[in-house]
Amino acid sequence: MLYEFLTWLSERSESLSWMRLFGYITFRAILAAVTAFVMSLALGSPFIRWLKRRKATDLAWGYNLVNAQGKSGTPTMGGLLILMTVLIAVILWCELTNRYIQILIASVLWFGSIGICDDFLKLRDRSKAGLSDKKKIALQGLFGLLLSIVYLHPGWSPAPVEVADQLYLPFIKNPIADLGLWYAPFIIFVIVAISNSVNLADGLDGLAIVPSFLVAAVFGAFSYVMGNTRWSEYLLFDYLSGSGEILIFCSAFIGAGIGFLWYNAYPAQIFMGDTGSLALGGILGTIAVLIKQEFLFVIAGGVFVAEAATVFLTKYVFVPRGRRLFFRAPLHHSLQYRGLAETKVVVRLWIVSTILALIAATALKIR
Amino acid sequence: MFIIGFIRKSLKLRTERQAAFLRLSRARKREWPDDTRKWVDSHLHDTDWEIRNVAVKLAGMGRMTEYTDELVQFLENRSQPGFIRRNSAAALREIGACEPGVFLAGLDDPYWEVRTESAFGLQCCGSPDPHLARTLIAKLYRKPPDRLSGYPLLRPSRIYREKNFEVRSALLHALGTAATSEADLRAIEIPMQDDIWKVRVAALEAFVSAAGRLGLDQERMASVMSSIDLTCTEFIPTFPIRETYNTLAKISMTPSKSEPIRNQDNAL
Repeated sequence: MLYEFLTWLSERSESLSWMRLFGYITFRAILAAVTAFVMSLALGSPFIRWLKRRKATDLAWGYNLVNAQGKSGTPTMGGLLILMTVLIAVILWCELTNRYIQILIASVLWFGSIGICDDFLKLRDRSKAGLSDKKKIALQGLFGLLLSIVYLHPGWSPAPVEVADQLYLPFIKNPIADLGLWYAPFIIFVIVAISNSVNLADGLDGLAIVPSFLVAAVFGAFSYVMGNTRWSEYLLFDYLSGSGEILIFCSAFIGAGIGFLWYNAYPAQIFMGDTGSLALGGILGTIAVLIKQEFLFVIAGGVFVAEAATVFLTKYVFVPRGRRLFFRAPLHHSLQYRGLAETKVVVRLWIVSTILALIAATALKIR
Repeated sequence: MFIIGFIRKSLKLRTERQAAFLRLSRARKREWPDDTRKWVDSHLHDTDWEIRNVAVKLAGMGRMTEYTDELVQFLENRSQPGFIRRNSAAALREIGACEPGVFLAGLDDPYWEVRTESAFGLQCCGSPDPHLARTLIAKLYRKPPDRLSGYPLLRPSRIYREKNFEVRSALLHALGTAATSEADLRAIEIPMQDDIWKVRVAALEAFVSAAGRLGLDQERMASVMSSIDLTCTEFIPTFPIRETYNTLAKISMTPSKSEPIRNQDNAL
């Protein structure tokens, strides 16, 4: 919005021509990150107070003894803060007519709504139940289906028709398969899997947010390269016109994430809840599909994949056979069980995420 | 017909499982239906392992000694799912089947949770016994402790036969109960340098238990204490506001002095 206004101004007067600066994606990306970060910081405290006043806390308030080491009573649904600040920064600094941005805003609203419903039901019933797994997966899958329709429809897709249904692997130049309409179920799977993997990782203070914005940083770099004619030609990527705007979205995501971490760092003053974790996963899944880097998430988001894999193996493979492979599931609980403090587990997984993000980033050049 | 039969069977199985888990949750709340013993009797050999597992847990929780033989058979039968073998060992411990021989077989089980529970069983049922101590040391280390030259800097796990840290901790607890000699104490002392603090704690507790019984001179104690690695990768936080809140909650729970008077007014 602000971008369009400033561009319009720069065209009106010679003295305002310096405002052409706002036309540059990299400059707007920095501004989006700063805007989201500052807004998160500024809105964080009043937002936490508001959540407390609304009794949107992790567990029921009562006049009983509380666990002196526990975290019950900490406000939840902090994901709302992330989503709000991302949306504000995106509306201010992105080109809103860009189809990629429109799809990403839709994903923020869709997954945010699922998360809000889930958290609201938990808070209303004062239970851990919320939305059932089946309903959540159905709603996530429905978004995947809608996204696949938009992405594969020649008139609606932001990507060139010849690229839209191709399957790419990191470190390989050419597409490995032309999936055609089979790309639709693949998109649904990617959206559901990534959204749930981030949701599963959200169990310790600061654990989900840092790996999320590291993945966003990697995806941001890829989208910028793919949306730039020179870079895409030099690095042998398919040129996706307009995908550079995704970098601005990713920057807003990173800024909001760092701002949220300010309050979410151990011991947390606020939890993101399913509002945040489902939405973060949904957004990352959508970006992965939009820039055709679905498999890159396996590397960049390796921590999320490991968390989801431990839960999947435990719940569906080993426990039904009457034994356990890991001490506990998800992975972070297994590490805690081994005698690592929460802070140590979180920092170690941040380190692993950083290294994985760097490895994933090398796929820009090594192809 | 096959499909209808399959659906009917699945629904029946689901209902039975739900009933079994409900019974278990009631038992955990210390609500014991009168027919629990009868239920355990009829479901201990159920074809569905999850229902069998609930029966095993209930037998342990209810300290039903009459099922000791069945539980021993479950523990030794490797074709039973791992959870049943593990819970059988735990149930035997709760029942108080004080035969170390019962649990020794469990120490060779390929599933780590069974080995852990068996070792805890040995800790509870064992007593100072040189033979048992030797067996435990053999399960713990690849070589006799007198042939180990301290704690290795590189690849410390190589000195252990038992790779799982939880089983190592449980074995050390059992060794603390069974130890009878200075050599046994030496075997307990080595893991005080273990990489995992939970094993170090177990070694320390075992040493306290054994040293208290065997009696050690101050010089020996001082040398042991100087060798303990006290670093710990975990801590338990306490949030002062929560402790203060608990003080207030306790006050609010105690009936106020004015209450009886108010009640009297109401009664009038």
